[in-house]
This record gives sequence, structure tokens and C-alpha cells, in this order.
Amino acid sequence: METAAQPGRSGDSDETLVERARRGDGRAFDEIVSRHKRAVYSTARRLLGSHEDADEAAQMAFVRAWRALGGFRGDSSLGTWLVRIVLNVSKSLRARAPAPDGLEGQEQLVDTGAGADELLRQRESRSRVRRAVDRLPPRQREVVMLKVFSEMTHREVARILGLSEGAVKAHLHQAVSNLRRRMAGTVAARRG
Amino acid sequence: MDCAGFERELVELMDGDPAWDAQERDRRLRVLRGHAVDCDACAACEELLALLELPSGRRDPLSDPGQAYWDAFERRVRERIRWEATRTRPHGGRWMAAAAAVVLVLLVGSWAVRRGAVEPSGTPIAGSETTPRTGAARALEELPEELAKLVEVAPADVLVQLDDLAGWGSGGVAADAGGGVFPDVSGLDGDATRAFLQWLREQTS
Repeated sequence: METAAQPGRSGDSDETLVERARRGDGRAFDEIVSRHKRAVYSTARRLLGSHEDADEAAQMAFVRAWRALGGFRGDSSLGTWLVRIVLNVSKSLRARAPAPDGLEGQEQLVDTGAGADELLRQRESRSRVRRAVDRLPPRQREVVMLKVFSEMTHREVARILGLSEGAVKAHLHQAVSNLRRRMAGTVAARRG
Repeated sequence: MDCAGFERELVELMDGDPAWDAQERDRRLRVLRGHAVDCDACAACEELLALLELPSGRRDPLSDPGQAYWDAFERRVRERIRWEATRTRPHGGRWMAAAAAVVLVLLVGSWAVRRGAVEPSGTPIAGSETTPRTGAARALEELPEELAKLVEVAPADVLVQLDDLAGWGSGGVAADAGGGVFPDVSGLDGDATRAFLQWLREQTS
């Protein structure tokens, strides 16, 4: 789970780091950034596609977090709160400059024990799924990204998106229904 | 299994009930595959099934930007925070913030009223792709542009308050049939509005 707090260099909990950062301790904020930067970046990368956009979104998210730290009530974990912020920033960036069709170029081949042909086939297949997901309505896309690709639980997704768990499930159901319809064309073409 | 059952089961599988063991998960995958092979309509989801079969952490391998990137990350955030601080206007900043916030609230409010005016028919429904696209829905699409322009000049603390108020920061974005995106203010209630006004008073006192 990417939003879980990990012990950092100081060994302080996220809550302690937030308290220290609120008092103006820059090192504490550095440690918050260090602890959560990968989860924040990868969320942005999944939603935006390119490294450049994800980098911009991640940087903006931490700047916003720094400014808003005084208002962080701790109702959710720090990681969940940061992912919510980067999701919001990514959405704004995406609204200004929509992602290109598909999100090619962002994956690397990972050794899963399969042969090169199988790896390529997996990559192409994943790419087709990603393209279809990318064309879903925003809320459904976010739910699928967080649930399927980031492998979060319903509860985590619900907290990040500010929805009930039931609503997350409903969006997931709609997304599956849409994906089934959208991907039918490509499957029919491949089956010939 | 019929197609509706296939969809239900697929969502259940994505749910990934933690109580299932690997055997139960495999059994469910086999049942779904069995249907997908015979059904042209559901065959499209075979790739989604294949994705779910991949081991945890392998579904979406992203290219790692490299250690040099991560090593410089905190320093770049620090520099950006300093840069943002120098951009803050020394005089009248609070009043500008308040003014921007009021305009944003009015915009969201008018949007909400206009949205209410098209109820019950023709209202864009979050995530729906089947709702007919109405003139009102098209008019609403123009609002985010005005909002986006204001958001660019509004200080971050105003935006954070607006996030909490309108659910924008919590992912409160809806889409209409044409794929237009606009803030979802369905969560706007009296308490949130009062809290925001109280915050505004504090900023301007």
C-alpha cells in the first residue's frame, strides 16, 4: 500500500513530523517529502503519463501541502491526504493540457520470468487496457487507476476521493461496463 | 454465467476480498475466463483479467526516473517553496485572497444554482455516459474556464479552502456525456459554507 506511513530517517511518526513541520522545522518537512515522494509521483505518473508532467504535479502537490499543513486535521493519514492533493493537481494539469491518446512510453519491461515475446505481449495488452482506461470519464478513471493499477483497497480509494466505499464500487462497476464496451472493438479486430 | 454476472464477478475480483486465498481467486478467474472465451461481448475483458492475474506490484510497472532524480527531489521542493514565497504580494495580499475567494464562491454558487435549475431532467450525472447532453450542460462547461483562470491567480491557501468547501480537492469532479469536466459541488452544504465564511472573516479582520 503506497499511502502507508513508513518510518523515516528520524524514526518519527508522520504525526510527529507534521507537528514539527507546522512549527517551521524544514527538516521535518523534508522527511515528509522523502517518505511520500514515490507514492505522490507514481500517482501523478499514472494519471498524467509523462515524467515531466508527473514531476510538475508532484512538486506542486508538496508546495500546496506545505502551505496547507496548518489545516491538516489528521482525519485521514498523511499519505492519503498527499495523494488527494496530487490527484487534484494532476486533474488541473490534465484539464489544461489533456494527456495524449494512450500513455505509451511510460512502462518498462519487468522480468516476470516470461520470455521476451510474452513480455512484449503483456506490455501491448497492458497498453491497450491503459488506453481504454484513459478514455473513461474522470471519476471512473481515477477509481480504476487507484484500485487496479495502484492496488489500493476500497477504503483507501474512498478516503482519497472523498466517496463512500459503496460509491467507489458503483464507479468501478460502471468503469468495467464501459471498458467492456470500449475494448470490444479492438478484440474483434484482433480476432479477425 | 450471463454477461451481467460476468461484470458483477469481475468487479468482485477487482475488489479482491482479502479473505480469499489464492485457490479461491484462481477458481473465480477460471470461471470468468470460461465465459469470456465463449462470449464475444465479454472477450474484451480478457486483457483486464490477464492484468488482474499478474502478481502484486507488476500490474503497472512505471519507468523509475532514477536515483539522481530522487536525490534532488527534496531540494527542488524546498527551492520551489522559497520561490513561491517570493511571489506573494507584500501589500494587499490578504485582500486579494479574500476577493478571489469571494469570486470563486460566487462562481461555484451560481454554478450550483444553474445546475439545480436543470433538475430533474437533463442534469449531467457524474460518470454517466448515457445522459443526454443539454444546452445547460454545455453552458456549465464554460464555467471551469473562468474558474481555472481565477485558480491560477488565487493564493494556495484560498484554493485549499475551496477544496474543502466544494469537494474539488477531494476529487469532486463530474463529467457529462460529452466528457466535459466541472467541479462537483453536490457536497456543498450549509456547514461548509459557514466554515468558509468564518475563515474569510479571519483572513480579512
